Amino acid sequence: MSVWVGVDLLLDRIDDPAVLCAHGLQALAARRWRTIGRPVPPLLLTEERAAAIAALATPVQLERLRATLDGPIILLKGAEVAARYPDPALRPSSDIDVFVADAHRAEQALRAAGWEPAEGERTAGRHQHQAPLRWPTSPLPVELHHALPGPSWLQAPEFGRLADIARPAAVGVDGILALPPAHHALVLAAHAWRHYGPWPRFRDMIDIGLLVDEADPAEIAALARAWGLDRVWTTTRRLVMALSAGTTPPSPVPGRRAPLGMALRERTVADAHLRRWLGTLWAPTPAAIPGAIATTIGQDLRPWPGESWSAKLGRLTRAGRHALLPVSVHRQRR
Amino acid sequence: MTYQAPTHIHSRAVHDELVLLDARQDAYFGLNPTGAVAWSALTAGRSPEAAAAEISAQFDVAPEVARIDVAALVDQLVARGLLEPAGA
Repeated sequence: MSVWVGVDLLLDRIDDPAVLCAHGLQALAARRWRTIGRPVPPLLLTEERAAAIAALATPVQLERLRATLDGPIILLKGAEVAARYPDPALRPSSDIDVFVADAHRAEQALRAAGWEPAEGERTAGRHQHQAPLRWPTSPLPVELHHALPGPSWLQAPEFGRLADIARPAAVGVDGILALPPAHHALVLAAHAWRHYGPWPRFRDMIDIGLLVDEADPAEIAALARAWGLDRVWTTTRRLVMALSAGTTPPSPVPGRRAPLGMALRERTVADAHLRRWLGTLWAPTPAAIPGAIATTIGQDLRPWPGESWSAKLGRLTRAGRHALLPVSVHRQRR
Repeated sequence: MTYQAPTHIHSRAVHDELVLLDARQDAYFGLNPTGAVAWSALTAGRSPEAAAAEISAQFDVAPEVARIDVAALVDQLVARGLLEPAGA
């Protein structure tokens, strides 16, 4: 089932440009609103140009990567999924994610070739990737993944096994690989779950829906079981099907009212933490849930690698003061 | 005379505007709607005069003004390496 009809219905229901941006829908909304004669606000126009620049920069950056790094390079998430949109510029990306056999060695090679730390370097060690790097004149940083992104209980295959089944990426740069659609759909679901729990961004649902269209549902279900994501996948699939059908996203909690209001507004700082913590309840077995909760909350409460406890306490205090503010406002003020 | 975009120049339409990327220098340029029409005509192998006629037909611009503006745009694009004479 194509997601696009449902996406248009969704775009017609959201009025706040900030919400559209928070869900990664800004370029799609600009195009849709123009088509139906709605005025396109300046924020969406700016975001639309930024998305076009990112779409132009992506293949150039990937060619630079390919020229510098040895071994397989597996493109994850944004740029690879964008190739499935009607126009890649409709799928905004703020970086390029690649999975390589030895991310540390790849980082050293890129730094030796002139790549520099990008803003956000302090995220190193917090996620399954090295510190972001950028070519000095390029607007698009690259994140070198040493593991697939996902919740703490993700049991993903090692790089070598994935490289064996990878295929040329849809983005069309020679030597850049991508995972088969079933695997990639699960990676996207796992990544979205890690950050948003059972309330993913609409862009994540679109991305997953596009890959699901190319995959065998039974294969995805079998992979989800093997990766410890069967419960995550069951919920994600329901959300994607609802989006495709143009209906209200179902509640992730059976029997509860659908959280439409939560879905159609930008998440607050408190939401962001609660969603991640609640997401741990989807660990594969009841016995695994306490460990998942402890790991996830522990990650939120501990300092980042290299960060002092006083700096962490400062961040915690700010987050507490901003608990009810939208995340984008919190980021501007910190 | 006709022109072409060098292979390291990439373009993408954003509604009625155009974003250009010089991949060798990571430099980005924007063309407004009339510039975008001129670019499309020029890179399709049409002459500056034909591009100016297209602008006159699509926008409220006098033919002579369009010719002068397109000539100036071509000079700027060539000077920045975004356009080159065909066959170069």
